[in-house]
Amino acid sequence: MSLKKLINANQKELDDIIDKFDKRLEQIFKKINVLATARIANITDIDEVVKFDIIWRGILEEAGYYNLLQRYVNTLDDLQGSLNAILDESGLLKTLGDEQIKRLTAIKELQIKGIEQIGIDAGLTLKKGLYNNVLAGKTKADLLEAMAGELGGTKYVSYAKTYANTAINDYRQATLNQRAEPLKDDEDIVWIYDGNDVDDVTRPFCADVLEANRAYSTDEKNELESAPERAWNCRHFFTFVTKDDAVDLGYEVN
Amino acid sequence: MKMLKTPDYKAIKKGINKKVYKALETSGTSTILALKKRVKRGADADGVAFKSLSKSTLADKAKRGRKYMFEDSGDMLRSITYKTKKGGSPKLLFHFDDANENKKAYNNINIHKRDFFNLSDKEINKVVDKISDSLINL
Repeated sequence: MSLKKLINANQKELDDIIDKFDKRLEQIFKKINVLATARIANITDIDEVVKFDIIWRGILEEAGYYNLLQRYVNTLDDLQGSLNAILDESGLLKTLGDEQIKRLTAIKELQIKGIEQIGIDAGLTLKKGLYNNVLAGKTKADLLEAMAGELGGTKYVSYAKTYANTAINDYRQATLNQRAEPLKDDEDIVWIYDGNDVDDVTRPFCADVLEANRAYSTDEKNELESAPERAWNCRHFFTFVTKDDAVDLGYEVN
Repeated sequence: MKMLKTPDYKAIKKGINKKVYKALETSGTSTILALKKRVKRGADADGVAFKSLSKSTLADKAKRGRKYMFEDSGDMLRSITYKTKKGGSPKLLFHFDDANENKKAYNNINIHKRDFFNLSDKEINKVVDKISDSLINL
């Protein structure tokens, strides 16, 4: 096999690895978002900023971010190893000068750094966005601008609006959950699905929950809240009221 | 001689705090829900219908499947939230959690003369009664 063909085959394998990495990274972003929202909602004081990076590293670790990067590096090393073996066996390795080997190694390093940076940038953007939203009272427009700016030049820029909308909605939900926490054992507390009324873009899941027009127990609400059908861009959240309030507002209470 | 047991003031204070907390928090959430329901029906705090939207806006909203006067992206109504002050005289403050949505609301109220961000006497009395009850019925 010619060197060109070998490199093309290697490139195809590398593209597959990057594709798998992207898919996995998407899942990890979702997890990071959920974890960050829940934990950042507890930060109410500027002094807490000191602890923020520790919390953030914990979130990345828990979401599997570092694990994914390590696996990516290992896979690239394996790929490089098998390419070297083929080149060696075919005698082509000897035809590559030191300069070419250095260049191949440098390209691999750049690929690792590039992928790592995309993940870090996107993670940092979420962190900054959520952080600013909580502590500096930034608007959705500020958040969106910051996210789009930070993600500029990466394929994730198209998700900036989704991240901004989702981060804000998750933050609102986390705040309400936190406010309801001291009342968690109170059986008089029920939850209402609030937000946009059913329209042409409402997801069937949200339409069903809204159209049921009923109050939900905390257990029911927790289950519905984490439903994957409403993971991104959802325009609804659960708010807590007393059973009497729910009846007054026209909701069915079991 | 009958021994009187000293009241557990800490427990009493905790009980008061919890009842006031519940009354304030659930007044905040339920008032926002009631306000949004009323506004989506198209009525202000006095039950008067809001000034109609222009024909072009109505056509544009219809084209995009939007039914309600104050709900387009839904961001403005979703950003309504509340703050509570529990110590001393309890207070409940309604506001928007996003400065841009606050501007939108300001324009709706002051420029387009659709005062949606207001409460009726009935709505205010309901909050006052709930908080008073939490302090009286201990």
